[in-house]
Amino acid sequence: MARPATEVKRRIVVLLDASGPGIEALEAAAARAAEVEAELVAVFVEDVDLLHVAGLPFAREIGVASATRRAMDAGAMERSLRALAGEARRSIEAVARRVPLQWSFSVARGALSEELLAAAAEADLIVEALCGSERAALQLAALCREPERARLVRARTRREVQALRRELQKRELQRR
Amino acid sequence: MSDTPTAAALKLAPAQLRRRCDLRAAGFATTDELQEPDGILAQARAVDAIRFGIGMRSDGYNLFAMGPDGHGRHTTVRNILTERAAREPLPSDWCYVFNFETPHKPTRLDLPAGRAQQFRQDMQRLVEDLQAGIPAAFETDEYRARRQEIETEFNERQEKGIGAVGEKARGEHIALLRTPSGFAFAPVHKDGVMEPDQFRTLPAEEQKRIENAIAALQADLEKVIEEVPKWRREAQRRLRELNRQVTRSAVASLIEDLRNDWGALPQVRQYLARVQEDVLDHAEHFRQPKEGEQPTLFGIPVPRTEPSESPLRRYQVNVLVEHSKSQGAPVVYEDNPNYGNLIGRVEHVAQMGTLLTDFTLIKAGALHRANGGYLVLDALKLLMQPFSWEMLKRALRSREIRAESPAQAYSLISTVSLEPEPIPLDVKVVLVGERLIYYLMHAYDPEFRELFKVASDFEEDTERGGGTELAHARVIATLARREKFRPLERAAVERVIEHAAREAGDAERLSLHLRGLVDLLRETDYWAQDAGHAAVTAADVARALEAREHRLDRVRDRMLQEMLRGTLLVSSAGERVGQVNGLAVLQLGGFAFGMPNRITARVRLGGGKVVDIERETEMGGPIHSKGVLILSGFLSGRYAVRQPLSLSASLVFEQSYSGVEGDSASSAELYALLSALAEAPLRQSLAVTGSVNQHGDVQAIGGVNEKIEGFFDLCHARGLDGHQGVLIPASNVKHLMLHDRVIDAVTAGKFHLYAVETVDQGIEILTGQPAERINRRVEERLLDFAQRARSAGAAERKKPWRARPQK
Repeated sequence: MARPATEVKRRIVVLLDASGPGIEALEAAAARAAEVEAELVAVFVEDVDLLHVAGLPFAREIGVASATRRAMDAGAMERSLRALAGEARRSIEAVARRVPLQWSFSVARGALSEELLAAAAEADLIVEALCGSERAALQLAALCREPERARLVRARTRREVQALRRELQKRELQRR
Repeated sequence: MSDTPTAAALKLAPAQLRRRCDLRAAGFATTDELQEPDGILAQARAVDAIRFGIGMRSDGYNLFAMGPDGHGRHTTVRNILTERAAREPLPSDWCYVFNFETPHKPTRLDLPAGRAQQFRQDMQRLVEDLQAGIPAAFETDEYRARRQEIETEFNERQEKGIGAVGEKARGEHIALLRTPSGFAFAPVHKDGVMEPDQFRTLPAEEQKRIENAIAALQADLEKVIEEVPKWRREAQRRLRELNRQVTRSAVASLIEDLRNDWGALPQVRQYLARVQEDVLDHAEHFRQPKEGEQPTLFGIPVPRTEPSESPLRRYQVNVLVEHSKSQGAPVVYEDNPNYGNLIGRVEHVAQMGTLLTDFTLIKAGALHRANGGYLVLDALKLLMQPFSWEMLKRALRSREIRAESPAQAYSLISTVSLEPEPIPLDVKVVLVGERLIYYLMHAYDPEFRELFKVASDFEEDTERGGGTELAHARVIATLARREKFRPLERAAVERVIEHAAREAGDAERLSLHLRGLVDLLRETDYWAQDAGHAAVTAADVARALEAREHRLDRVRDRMLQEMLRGTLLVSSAGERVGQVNGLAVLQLGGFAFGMPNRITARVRLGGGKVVDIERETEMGGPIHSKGVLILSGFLSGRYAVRQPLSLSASLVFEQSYSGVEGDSASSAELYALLSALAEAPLRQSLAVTGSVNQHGDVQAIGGVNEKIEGFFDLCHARGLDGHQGVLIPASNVKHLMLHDRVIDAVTAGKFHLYAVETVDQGIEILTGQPAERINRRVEERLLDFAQRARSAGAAERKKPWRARPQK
């Protein structure tokens, strides 16, 4: 997976899933990518665990705001995940409408494909906003364990997103 | 025909026809040498009343200055009030401030005179300082750290609670998952959640166990989540407390400065304490608004409405009345006393199609401005304005100013508006108006009597004597100086004073109509300028008076022309039975003139009735009818007393096509009647005026000067033959202020005036025969009538003489 030394390709990879402040992290990264003319690769990971839970006969969801139990079913969960993926996509489109931005958006279920891992390996920065999706998180962690590989920043909570914003500004992703 | 001895005796001398004004003794050449008069001219009664009224501080002692227009009521009232007010203390300044407890009832503040503006500026500066100081306090590192601490603690508490449940779940091989909107529990298999198919393969009791465990965990988690809002409230409360602490430190010192300056006033101290509390509660208003953020409504941008909508408006001070530039108590004259101008108004601003208001939009009225002093109003103007009078009475009765619109006061509308705290009222109101208004209000409005206990009655004229003439001359001098007219020569002043007597219609009185006087002076100044005089001469005054008369005398001129052409039949020579020249005064606009009018009488045998044709045709007024009925009384009381009055007489004003009023022609009518009865011709070269009573005494009438001049002008136009003249009541001689042209003719013996006291004197002059002879013939005629009536009555017993059935 060696990179040609002449080609300096800047890339920010953002992985997010249905829970947590993923969209905020994505927006922050998209804005920064546009600023430094880096490529943005966004991956929405559908957490298979959520689909499994929803399939269980006794599955119940406890609302954060209401503290009440609601029945879950697999169909509704899929729709809900699709809606969130759409929202994430629209948030990048909104940034791209304002400023030129090279971007791609894909949806992965459960684990990351080889191509995605390859793209991630080439990234200057990986933003990981995965609150569920253990497998994808582990895949990324493994990828970044090698020292010369991309730097991984976690953005699973609001506080981490704020830290990410600061990180994005500090990081040496200067304009070409 | 030569005069009888009686006529010669009653003839008036030229000197009696006009009382000359002679100021030679005063020793001045022009008005420049005259001083200002001391005090107010000849209005002692009115002035005393005003002084009394403003001296009485009790309730209800308000004033009504009454009298005819143009007699200096307003000037006198203003002068006395200004003089008195200058010695009185300045009243408080009044402000309205925001009421923090009940915002729709703004609070009043009274401040020492002249300090309201300072307070307003101080409050404005406080707000500016707070706008700088509060954001600064919130930008300190200390504040940021303490705020972070609170937020972190809340987050940690939440995470710890949920984490504990997750830990417990893990012990039971159950995973806690985050879903898009909450949490869910699921059994774990290897490193992932157990798939549904796999779960179904588990033994039934295992499935049951997992379900139960999850149910228990769900209950635990619910408990934790239910706690979260409480923690959040707790965190918010601590944040608020922190904000208050930070704000307090910034606010306290700034308000302390104000308190040092204003703390002596308890009301202000209270207000400042409330301001401090309110600022602590609403510190966010003082943080700068984000730049460029346009307010929107349903996504449509709306214009910024600052400063009217700014929440900081509530700390403004609305200065209603302030006296920083005044001295003494205020004297306010409100020319347009409508409701809003008197009591003030609460204005509204239109915002997004609705009308909004707040305490800064309360505007002062005349009552506010006059509070602690005097308010002068024109009574008629006040009464013509809807609701104003009722409102003024309410304010005076309740001794407070309650600024509410008439719509509010009468419950006509009920939109949201303000109810400003009423301001205590201590004002003396002076109404200025005609006497009629005073009498009507006094009769019909019981509250008027309660509230306006002092009447100041202005005189129209004053007694004429050496002293008053000089005082009048000084008034003329003062007016001429004030209005920057040329000075008047002494002769001109005398002429003006004589005119004042003529205006008063009395040689022994002077008119006090100041506006008329100023107008005359202005006109004389014009004619003096026209003639190139440095000082106004008597000729200029005469010219001004002539020009004024000429401008207005078109109708008189036309009537005179018609008499000369013989359209209006009035004789001024010869003799005729039952016909006499009466005199009437016509008033058109401001111009009054006299005109002769032929009066005729016819008699015949009849039922004892004198028919007044004017009355029968309803062209005669009640006083005229009364005069004619008195004639009947005189006739029946004097002649043929023992016989029934068997006469039928008719009296008429010839060629009169409009109404006749007044009894000044009753003596003329009597002469015509006596002439008709005695069949004695009357001299047509004479005209007659005067009323008569049942005893035959001739009584005074009004407009004697105009009447004489009216007949004189006709005779003069036809050519004076030395026989013409006018009979006037002797009691009117003191009213004579005749024009020089009449006096000249009398002096030359071409015109005569007779002062008559009784009908006998009059008939003697008019017939040239002794009164006894005329009376005897009247008596004989009436006796003859009575006799004939009796014999006719015997012949036709059943037929009464009455021409028509009694009404």
